[in-house]
Amino acid sequence: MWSNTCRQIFISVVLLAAAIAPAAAQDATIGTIRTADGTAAIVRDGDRTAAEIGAWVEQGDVLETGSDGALAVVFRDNSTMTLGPNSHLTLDEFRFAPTRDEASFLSTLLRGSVLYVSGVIGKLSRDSVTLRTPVATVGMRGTRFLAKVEE
Amino acid sequence: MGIFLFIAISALIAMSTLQPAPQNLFVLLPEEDGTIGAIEVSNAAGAQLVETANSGVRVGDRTTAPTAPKPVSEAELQREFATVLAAEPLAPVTLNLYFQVGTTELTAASLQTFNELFTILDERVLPDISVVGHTDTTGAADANERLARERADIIANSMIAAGAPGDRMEVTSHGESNLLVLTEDNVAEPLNRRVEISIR
Repeated sequence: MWSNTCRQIFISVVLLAAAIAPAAAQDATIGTIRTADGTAAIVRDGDRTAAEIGAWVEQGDVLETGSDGALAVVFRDNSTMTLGPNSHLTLDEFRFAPTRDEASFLSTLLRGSVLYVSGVIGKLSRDSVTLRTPVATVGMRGTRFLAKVEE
Repeated sequence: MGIFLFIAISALIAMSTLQPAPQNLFVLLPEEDGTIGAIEVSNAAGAQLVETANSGVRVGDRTTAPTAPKPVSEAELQREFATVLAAEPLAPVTLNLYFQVGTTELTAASLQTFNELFTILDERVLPDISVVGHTDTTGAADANERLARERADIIANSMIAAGAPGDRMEVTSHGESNLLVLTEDNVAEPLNRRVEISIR
């Protein structure tokens, strides 16, 4: 049914796809650390690790800074969050798969200060990016904003 | 002279105790390219929408409604957020690559863009790279998801062959679900048929 040429092209495309090397190891990751100053840590499943530039960040992680700390993460949708000192931020949910209609970013700032710059998720759909704090919830739309929460 | 100084110092101390109690503060900023988005700050007692750059809303506690948006001075921004602003990372860079129609060869302009990518990679320690394939809205969505993935794979392989870190690269397809140029379904739009690379 298929001509020889067609079949050859089909086979080369399949081989090409199979040759792809990028690691699937970081499938669970949602972003990476870009700034890590002073006392700054990632807490995952109860384990605390000092934050380092280039380290991967996962959904569910807690980001914490001390009185001399600052921490910034860039996420897979190109959004960024920068934490100031004495801050505590939980990355509750990060879903970014437009072909499955998934685009959401939920986080909780328990205390401290954060600068958020939106990426693709905030632009793909309204009400998809939310920051919860003990005093109010912030809904964001394609935006850049600062939040400060007192303990 | 002594009395004058004493009075001046007392006045200074008295004034400083009149500073307002610290409050929770939410400020909308313009984006780097000047566009302004919006934030809505809400709790059980009320909600406020902020659509003006450098305007902020204050919230006393969760049972007190957020205040109406008001301009926030540069001085206050610096006082409250100097460290945060100084720690802001390099903005991610996103570039689009285009193929010559019906082929897997990059256009001449895109070949140049491809080389630019490596300069951008060099500016960052341990960058995170996304290679995302896209199509326009002609054809079926699931076929487009696969086609976009094939295009992304070709680019990813080329980048790795040229020295980009494959272990810090994510290759995905957004099919026709993330258009650069918004169109109706089944509209041919060359600008949408792209591989988008983001370097963070």
